[in-house]
Amino acid sequence: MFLNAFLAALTLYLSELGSSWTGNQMLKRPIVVGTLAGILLGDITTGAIVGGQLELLYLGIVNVGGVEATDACFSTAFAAAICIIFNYSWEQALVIAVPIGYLGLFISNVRLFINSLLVPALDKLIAKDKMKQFSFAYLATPAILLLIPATALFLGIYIGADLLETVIANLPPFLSTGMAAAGKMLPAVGMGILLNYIWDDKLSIYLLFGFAVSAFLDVTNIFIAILALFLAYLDMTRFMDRKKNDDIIQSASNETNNNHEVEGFLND
Amino acid sequence: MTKLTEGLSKEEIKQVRTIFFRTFNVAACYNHVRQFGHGCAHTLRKYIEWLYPGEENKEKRIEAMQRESVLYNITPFISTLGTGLFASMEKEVKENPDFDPSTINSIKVSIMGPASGIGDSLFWVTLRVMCASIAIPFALKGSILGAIIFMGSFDLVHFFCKYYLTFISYKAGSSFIAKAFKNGLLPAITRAATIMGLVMVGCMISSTVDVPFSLAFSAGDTEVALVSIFNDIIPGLLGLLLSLGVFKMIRKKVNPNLIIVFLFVFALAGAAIGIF
Repeated sequence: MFLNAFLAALTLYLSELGSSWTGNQMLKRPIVVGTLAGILLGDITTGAIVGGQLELLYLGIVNVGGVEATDACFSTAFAAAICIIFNYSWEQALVIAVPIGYLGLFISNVRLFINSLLVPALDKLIAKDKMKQFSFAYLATPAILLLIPATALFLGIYIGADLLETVIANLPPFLSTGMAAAGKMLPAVGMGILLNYIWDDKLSIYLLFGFAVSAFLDVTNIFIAILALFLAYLDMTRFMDRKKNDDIIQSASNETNNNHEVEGFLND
Repeated sequence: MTKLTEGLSKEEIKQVRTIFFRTFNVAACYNHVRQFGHGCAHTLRKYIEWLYPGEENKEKRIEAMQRESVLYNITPFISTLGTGLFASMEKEVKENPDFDPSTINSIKVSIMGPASGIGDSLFWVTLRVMCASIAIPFALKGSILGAIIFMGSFDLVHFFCKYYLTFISYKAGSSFIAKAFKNGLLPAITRAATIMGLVMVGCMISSTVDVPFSLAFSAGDTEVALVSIFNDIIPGLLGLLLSLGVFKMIRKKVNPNLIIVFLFVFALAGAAIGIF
């Protein structure tokens, strides 16, 4: 159990650190985390399936602008680990893993808070012209601070294993229904956060377009993305043309004010 | 490729490439105070040391590093759009004494919002959903290919954009932003990205958000499930209304975590009394 819990924590640590160091948060997506858990814990099939299922569930959960709706990475590392270690089905794991994601978000926020406290120390290194040390400290910070969520996950699985078994065995049925319902409604928060970032009153009709195509037609997301690409291209060229026309009219009318001979040209 | 590096000296090309590689670290120390501020300084460190080498330039080097660590935030996948630009402006600070260094931070603040709007729509929403849609079926079959396809297809576009943007923004310099605003290119790209983003969010709402009421009531002899009435009109209508409601609340500065807690309580309470 010690080794398994350690490997689960390592999964989380590697995903988070990889994402921090490469600036690529896709390494924290469930599909990658689940598969990585599978590789480390020696059951790629289960890991990939749990990762795929959670990717579907968390498709709407994104962390743009530092606001997250839940910690999908923490939740997936936990879910994949208990599925592999205790032979749970992914549905069973989900009942615990969804709330665990919110615990993970809380732990992440503690980490970010500590990170904010370290800002003056980094500033001091710059002010003293210790640039190499600055870069080193800058890269070392996540490597140290990410031990916090990793330790939490390790303790959760190592100490909580027995507790977990009793909890899953004795869950009142309404709780798992409730968790399933919450899992279906909570992506709305991710959507709300996203919309808050990209919203434009005049373009809001496109949201309904995407919704309607997906709701009424049996097509893949890729098809809809290609449709979106066409629509965006059409709008962009039309917008540029209109801008160009406006500029021509603008400059022409400016000239008209200065020089009356141009008037004949405009009347053609 | 020759066109991309045209007009730059060999040493300069090497330095700009260094910026590209170091930009991968931009998000390492994200925090709520400076966001990617120190990440930007770390990205440009080698470049600034190249501009101001040795003990005699110590003051200027520290000044430049402090200037670059103030505040920065951008979709990490296109962060070189900013860092390439800031590097070219740092060069201008060194070469042109009339150039006001404080312009750098005002440009920084002015591009952060629009650039992230474009980046989030294109990368977080559109590209990620496309890659996930291709990869998920492989993962659900238990194959390692799912994760590989997901990362591979995403990073192909990601690396390509990041590399090109480094050189494009470095060569274009600060005049580029002014020009892009003036000839309407930036607003047009923003519109296009917003449209793609909104279409994909609409599609994601339909496929991921649901309010699974299981309430049924008797109409004559038959039991009619409440949710099927809604679904007969427009499938997933409740999910759409919920998403728009949450969006309105976030817009009114309601803390998203509060909404999460509320939905959780609602789901559990609802399940306890049997409406789910």
